[in-house]
Amino acid sequence: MTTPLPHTGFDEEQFEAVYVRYFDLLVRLAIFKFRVPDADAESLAHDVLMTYLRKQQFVVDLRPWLIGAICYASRHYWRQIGKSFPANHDSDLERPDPASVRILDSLPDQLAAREALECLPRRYREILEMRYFEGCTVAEVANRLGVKPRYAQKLIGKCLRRAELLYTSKGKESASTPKKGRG
Amino acid sequence: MRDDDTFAPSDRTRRRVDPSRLAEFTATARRLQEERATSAEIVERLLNETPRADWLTLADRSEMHTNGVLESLAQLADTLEHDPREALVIAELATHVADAIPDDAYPRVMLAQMRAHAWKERGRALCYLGRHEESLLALEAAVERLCPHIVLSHDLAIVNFVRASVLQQMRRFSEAQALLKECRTVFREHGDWRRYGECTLAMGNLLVRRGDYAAARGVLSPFLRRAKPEARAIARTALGWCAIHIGDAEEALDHFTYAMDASRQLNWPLEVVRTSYGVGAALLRLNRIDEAIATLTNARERFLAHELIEEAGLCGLELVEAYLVARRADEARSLASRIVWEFTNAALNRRAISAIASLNDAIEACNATPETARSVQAYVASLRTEFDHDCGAMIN
Repeated sequence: MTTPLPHTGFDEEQFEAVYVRYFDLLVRLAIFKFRVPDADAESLAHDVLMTYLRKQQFVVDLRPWLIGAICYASRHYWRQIGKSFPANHDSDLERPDPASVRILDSLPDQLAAREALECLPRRYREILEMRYFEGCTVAEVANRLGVKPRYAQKLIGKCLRRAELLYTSKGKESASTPKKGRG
Repeated sequence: MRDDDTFAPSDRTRRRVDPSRLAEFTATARRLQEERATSAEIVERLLNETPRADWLTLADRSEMHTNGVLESLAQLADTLEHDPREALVIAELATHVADAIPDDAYPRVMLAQMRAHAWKERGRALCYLGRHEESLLALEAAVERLCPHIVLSHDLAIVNFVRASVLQQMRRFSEAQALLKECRTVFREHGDWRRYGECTLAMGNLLVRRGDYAAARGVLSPFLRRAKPEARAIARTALGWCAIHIGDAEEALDHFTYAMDASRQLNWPLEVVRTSYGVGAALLRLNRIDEAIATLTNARERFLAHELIEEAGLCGLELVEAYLVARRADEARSLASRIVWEFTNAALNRRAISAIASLNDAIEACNATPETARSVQAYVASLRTEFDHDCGAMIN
């Protein structure tokens, strides 16, 4: 009367590999595209991966499925806590420049980021402060600078690259400076 | 650029996976695999050793309280399409099992999925039995179980797709259309192209039924390129009707001929009849009257053999028009009165019966033209969607 359910052909290591491979991507999407707080983004990513387990046999292409799921979950996240997330509004502008997302993320914490800002000329510092400390959107930064949003986006990327450069060279300088007390 | 490329992690910045979460994930994965390996045997054994009248009591048995059992029950209900009553009993058992599983037995989101899909299957089974109101209630129960969980949009779309189908059968087209639109977006954004295709087809057919032919064409034409043979056959039938109503009979004939051949290859006898009715309608509009009469006569007979009175009537009205074009008024009148009798006997829409009866009178009085027959046919066809207009007025 009943036929055995098909085995998915996955072993435990493969499941683990799926989790390790996609967890990071999903968390990043929630944080950078939808500005979900870190801890909540991790919970969402975990839950999305959990829901996949039941559908594993039917999901043909895992990556787009997971990305779709985290995007919907992130939008619902904001809806649930009563803040409307402008799903498509300026989404291109709000999306970090691929070259700069790595740089921003590589700054270990807020302190290091501030330290990096200290190294910058005033104009660069102001732009990054607006964007990353005051929480302005790219459109708002553009408005305050009196430039077009596309140009503001480019400026932000340029400032981040400059910050990284100065911060890295400062690190190298201090590493090469002999410490007092050593012979 | 795609989002995932933008956010591709570099090794330097990759987030650390929480070991306890990873352990929960792999343990759950392992558990599901193990359950799937044994559940079919458990279900079969328990159903065999329990009298059918007591099947619902099996929901209390702890060995039934697994995801694997729910999946097996869903699979079993699916194979019982020919026996919808038994399928409903199985689906009811599944909802009892799902709701009896302790809240802490699985991760919360997974338990919500399990319960919602059991209720969705119950809704489907009720729909097969024509118990539409109860079906909607079951599907609402499924939605209720999903709603508190923000990561279950895909599951919600699957349930809503079934809801749309039930609403369409209840002729609540506006609500069905709104749901289908939403589901299509969700499936597309999840890269679920199979369900996206099914949803597109459903949307196209719904638009055809609502008489929005240009919109239906807009939805279905781009879909043809990547559709599988089954879906392409259905889409081309719908596109054939779009072309008929838009006034492009050549294109309609092409679509219907393709769909008829495909339906034959797919062994879909009823679709062969429906598409041959389309071929007849296209031939009539191309003024190939003799071929149209032969094709429509054949299609009508086969509709009647399947007891599809409404479709036989609509096909018959095309035939009445063809007779009038061929100046065979006697045959036209006799057929019109025959359709009135069939509709009356089947207790179909009274307004449709009156319209066909007045066509009959007009033919008798030698006042009927082919255009009269066509307007009556269009009117009778439009009554099929009228319920929705009434509903829409109530809702708004």
